[in-house]
Order: sequence, then C-alpha cells, then structure tokens
Amino acid sequence: MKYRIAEMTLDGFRGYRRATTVRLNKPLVILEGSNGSGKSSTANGPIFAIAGNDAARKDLGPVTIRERTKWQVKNRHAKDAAVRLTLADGAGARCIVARTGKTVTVDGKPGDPLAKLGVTMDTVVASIFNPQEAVRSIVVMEPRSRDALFTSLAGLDSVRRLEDALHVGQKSADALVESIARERRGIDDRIGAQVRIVQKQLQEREPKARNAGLSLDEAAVRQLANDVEAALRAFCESYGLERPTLPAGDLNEFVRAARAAIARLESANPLLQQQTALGGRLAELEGLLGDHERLAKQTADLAQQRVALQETNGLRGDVEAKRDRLHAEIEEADRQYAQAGSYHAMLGRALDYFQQLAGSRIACPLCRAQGVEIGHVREHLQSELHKAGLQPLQERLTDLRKEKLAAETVLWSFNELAQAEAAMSGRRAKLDERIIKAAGRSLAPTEDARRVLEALRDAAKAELAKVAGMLDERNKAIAAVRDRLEQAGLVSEILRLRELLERLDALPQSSEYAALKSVQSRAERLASLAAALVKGADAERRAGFDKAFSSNVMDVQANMARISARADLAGLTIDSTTWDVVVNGVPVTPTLNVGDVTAIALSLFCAMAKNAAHAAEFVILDDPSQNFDAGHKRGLAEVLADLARERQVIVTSTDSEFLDALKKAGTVQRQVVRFRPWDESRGIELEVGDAP
Amino acid sequence: MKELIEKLVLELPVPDREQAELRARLLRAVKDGAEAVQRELEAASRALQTEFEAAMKKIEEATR
Repeated sequence: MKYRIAEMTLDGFRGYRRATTVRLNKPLVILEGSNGSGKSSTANGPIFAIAGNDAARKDLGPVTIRERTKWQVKNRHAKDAAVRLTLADGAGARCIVARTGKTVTVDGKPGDPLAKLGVTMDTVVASIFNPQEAVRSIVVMEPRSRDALFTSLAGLDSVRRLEDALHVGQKSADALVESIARERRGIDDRIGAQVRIVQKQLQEREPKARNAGLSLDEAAVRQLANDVEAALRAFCESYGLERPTLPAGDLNEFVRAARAAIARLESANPLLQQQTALGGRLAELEGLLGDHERLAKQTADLAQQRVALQETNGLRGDVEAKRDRLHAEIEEADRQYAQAGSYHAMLGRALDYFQQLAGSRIACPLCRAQGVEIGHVREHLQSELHKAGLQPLQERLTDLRKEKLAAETVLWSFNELAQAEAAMSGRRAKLDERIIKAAGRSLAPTEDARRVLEALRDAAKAELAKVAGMLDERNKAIAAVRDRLEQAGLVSEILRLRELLERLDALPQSSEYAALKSVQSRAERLASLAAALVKGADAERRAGFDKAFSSNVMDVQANMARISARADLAGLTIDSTTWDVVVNGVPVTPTLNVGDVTAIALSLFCAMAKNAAHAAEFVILDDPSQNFDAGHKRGLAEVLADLARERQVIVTSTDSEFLDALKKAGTVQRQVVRFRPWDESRGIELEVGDAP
Repeated sequence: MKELIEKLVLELPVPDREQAELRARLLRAVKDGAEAVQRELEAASRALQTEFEAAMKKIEEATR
C-alpha cells in the first residue's frame, strides 16, 4: 500500500484556533500565503500526527532547528493539540491516523503510525519532510555541518546519534586512561622521591650509629632495649616511682612507649614543683625586704622634715599664736588707716579748691596768717597733706600681712607633713600584715622586721639550693636513661628506614603495583573498545551514506542539472570522508555559492523521496526556494512537478516568483491552498482552490 | 538501529573474560538504545576508576 494525504483536520495545533479541515485532492499541493499565515504549521501537521513529540526533538535533522527546540504544538486556547490525517491509497483503501496530545490511534485503535507507514524518523527527515530550517542550515558550510546535513539527508540521523552517544562513552574512557596515566606518573615520582629521602636519612643516621659503636644485629638491638628498661627500672626504684610497663617485641613501639613514659614521669616531677614554689617564696621575701627598706627610708625623711620645720619656726602652737597676733595687729592698722584716710581726703578737696583760686590775698585756713598769697595756702596744704600721708601706715599694713602669710605657709607645711606621716603609718601597717603572713606568726614588739625577713629569705635560699641539687641529681639520672633510649631510637629509626627502603625497592614488583598496572591496561582496553565502537558507527554511517548516494546518484545529478545551470557541477558526487562535493575527483566545495549548496541538498532530498520504498507516498517541503535566483526557482519547480508524478508533493512558499513557476511547471494536476493573513482573534484561516 | 549496535558490539574483539563480560553487558544494553550503551561504557569507566583509586590507596599506604 502507498498512502497519500487525502485530508487533514487540525485543531488547537499551533495557530489553529478551531477545527479546520484541509482536503488535498491533487498530486501537487501548493500552500501559499503571507508570513505567519499558517503555511508551516499546516506543513508540520502531518509530521506531528505521524511522529508526535519525536518530531520536536531538537537533535532531529542536520543542526539544531529553531522551530523544534521549543516547538509549541498546542496553542494557549486549546486543551490539547489534535491532528487527524486521512491517508488514502490509489485503490481506495483508507487509513486514519489521529493524534490528540500524547494519544495516537491508527484506524481508531492505539497504534504506531511510523510502523504503519514503514518509516523511521530517519526516513521522515531524509525523504518525507524538508523543513525550512534544514534548507537554511545548508548555509553553514563547516565540514561538521556538511557531515550532519548529508548524513541527515541520507536517512542516517540515528546512526549519527548513536555515534555521538558512543563518542561520549569513548571520551569518558579516554579521560580515565589519561587520568590513570597521570596518577601513575605521579605515584612513580612520589616513590622515587621517597626513596631519595629515605636514603638521605639513612646516610645521616648510620654514621652516628657507627660512631656510637651501636650494632644493628638482632641480639644487640634486644640488648639495647633491655638496657633502657633496666635503666628506667633503676631510676624508678631510686625515686620511689611506679615502673611503667613497656611493650616487648617491636623496637619502634618500645622506643615510642619509653619516650612517652619518661615524658609522663618528668611532667609529674615533684622536685620541679618544689623548685617553682620555693622560687616564688624567695621572690616574695625579697620583695618584702625591698618594701621594708623603702618604707624605713621614707619614714626617716619625714622625721627629718619635721625637725627642720620646728627648728626654723618653733612648734605648731607657737606659729598659730603668732598668726593670731598678726591678725589682730592688721585689724588695728586697718582701722587707723581708715581714719587717716578721711582727714587726707578733706585736705585734698581744699587743695583742689585753692588751686582754682588766683590773684587775691586771703587768710591761711591752717596757720591763720592774714593776707597771704594763694601760693602760700597751696604750699601749706601740700605740706600738711604730706604730714598726714598714708604711706607709712600702708607700708606697715603690707609688712603685717606678709608676716601673717609666712605664718600661714608654715602652718600649711605642718599640715602636709601630718598627712604624709598618717599615710606612712597606713602603709607601715599593711607591710606589717604581709610580713606577719610571710613569717607565719606575729612579731614581738622588740623584733626587728628586717632581720626576721632576712632570716626567712636565707632559709628559702638554702632550701632552693637543696632542691636544685636534688633536681640536678634526678636530671642526671633520667639523662642516663634518655641517652640509652636515644641510642635505641637511632637504631630503631635506622632499622625502620632500611625496611621502608626495601619495601619501596620491592614496590614495582608488588601485587599492589601489579593491580595498578592491571587497571591501567584494562582502562586502555576499554578505551580501545569504545574507540572501536565509535569507529564502527562512523564507518557504518559513511558506508550508509555512500550506499544511499550511489543508489540515487543519477536522480541527484539529473535534479541538479535542472535546478542549477552550472555545467561544471554535472556529475557531482559527495566524498563521505571529507563531506566535500566532488566533481571528477576534485573537491569543489570552496567554489559553491549558497544557492548551489541548497540545490545539491534539495537534489539529494528529492532523489531520496522519489526512490523511497516506504508506504508514505507524500513529500512535504517548507519554503524550499530560499537563496535561489529565478533560474534555480524554475528548475526546482520543474523537479517538484516531476516528483509529483510519482508522489504527492506538498510545498509551502511566500515567494511569488517560485509560486508562479510551481503553478506553471509540468503538466501535473495541482491544488492551491491559500491562507488568509494572520489574525490573532481568528487564528489560521484558509481558502482552498485549484490552479488553472 | 538495534541491529546496527548489536553488529558493532558483536564485531568487538574479546581478548579476555573481562572484555567478554563487558561485551555481554553492552549487548544487553542494546535493546534500550544508544544512550544505554553509552551509559554502560561510562559505568565501566567509573568502575575502573574506583578500582584504580583503591589500588592507589594501597600503594600509598605501602610507601608510608
């Protein structure tokens, strides 16, 4: 059976707001309309019905296709996208494929439309549906893109995806091999470095052991451990300590345990604690003696100050009496000064008066002389003013006040001294308390605190010297043990290093190292296996392409001759190793323009579609004339009209030149489906009609 | 596609038991498609990585 599309009903799919049925009744169907009017949505409808979400796979086709990466099959007004296809064969048999969302039926029962038509997604891409993005992607002329494009057009997309997946597996194996090789180099370097370090350490230690006359044979080592144990036992017995238990056997462990035991014994050394305590007491007594001495000197200084003050000024009471007397005298002098001041003021006013008089003779108001000159009166008044002068009184007052101030200063010194003596007495009491505490008893009134302190200090010094002696003795004893232990430690370290060196030398032959090498070689085998799989898939894909191309080469070349006018491209083939377009064995890819590359791709697609053996006898091309000049468009229209003699050909376009060519090409019957310009409120709307 | 993967896996050389086991696992994965074969290869890499790390740890212990 060979099926063509007789009818399709689209609802909620892309821009279809309501159920719309398109009846296709001619071998060449032209979908025309402005951009966004719904041509591509209509062309995609059958593919959605047949392949469902697989049609929206982003890796479908040669490169990532924009329309499919976020393909919105359902519009926001519909509950689900639904496309119903009525397929009919020439003998009148019909098959209904209906998909609503994820539910698909074939003739009313759950089924697989791809199986019904005997196709895979590979064949859909290669020989049924040529989306406009596929044509656009041809513009990308990188070898990788050509590889993807031609692979896809030859129906080998799934082999490419397999190869990609295997390549990911191979990369992971390769990364493992690389990481293992790196790690292995690292461990070899580390072992080498370790050997050098150990050798150096041995070179440092072995001469020391030789110089100390230490033997490294088993008996000598055992004897050394016994010596350490005996020395430690003797030490513990001397000082009444509990003897630590040391492990027998492994010398390293023995040395470690002995070192720890000695550290424990020494940290609990009572002599050290005594020494510390005595040191503290001695420092305290020295401090008390110093304080005592300083206090005695300060007390003597104060007494001397008091004697000097009294010798100069008498007793405090005498000075107080003197101050009081001076106070009374000052009061009296003040009173006299006030009286003299009144008389003096009167004379002053009289003199002012007579200073203003002139010429006449008058009687002198002082000596009563008659008819004297004014000058006489003035002189007399000035003389009287001098006699009644305040200066002597003022000088006396000044002297008295000075004397009083001196007496008060002396009294202040007495006060200061008394305060200092009181403070000294307080400090003395506190020092006495500390001395009593240090002595551990009260001091008799006759006892000299200094002597008591000196005696205590001397006793502490003697005790400290005694403890230091004991400590020295103990240190010597433990040093003897330590010396033996250090010898044992040196021997043990040399033995350990020798053993480590032996182990390091033997490591490359060890089972651990063999395991490492084994994993490395297995990883390398895994990587080769993955590489073999990738290589196999790649070879399969290239062989598949060669087979597909060679089966269609005549049609490809014929199509190409009709679409492109370039005579130099006649007889073109495609090299599946470089994915170059080749003519007479010469790669011509660099000479191709975008129109020619598009023409080659469409030539291959149309040839594959024409010769496909599956039951889907229809081909859909979405806007295929991109990048074409008028000649190419006419050629493509001829090729499609020719193809429509064997298959139902559905073509969308906005290109009026190409649409005209399509409507005129060949003699095949054709149908034009015209779309109204997009209207958001109505969605996709169409007109159906036949071309003349 | 299943046939192709199967063919590729069957054509693999089998030098030892481990490779034979891996091939058997790949063949079992074939029915689930290319991604399953990829996952199997990645799992084999991860298993070897783990084994390698364990071997490295032992070597490092031996050098202390």
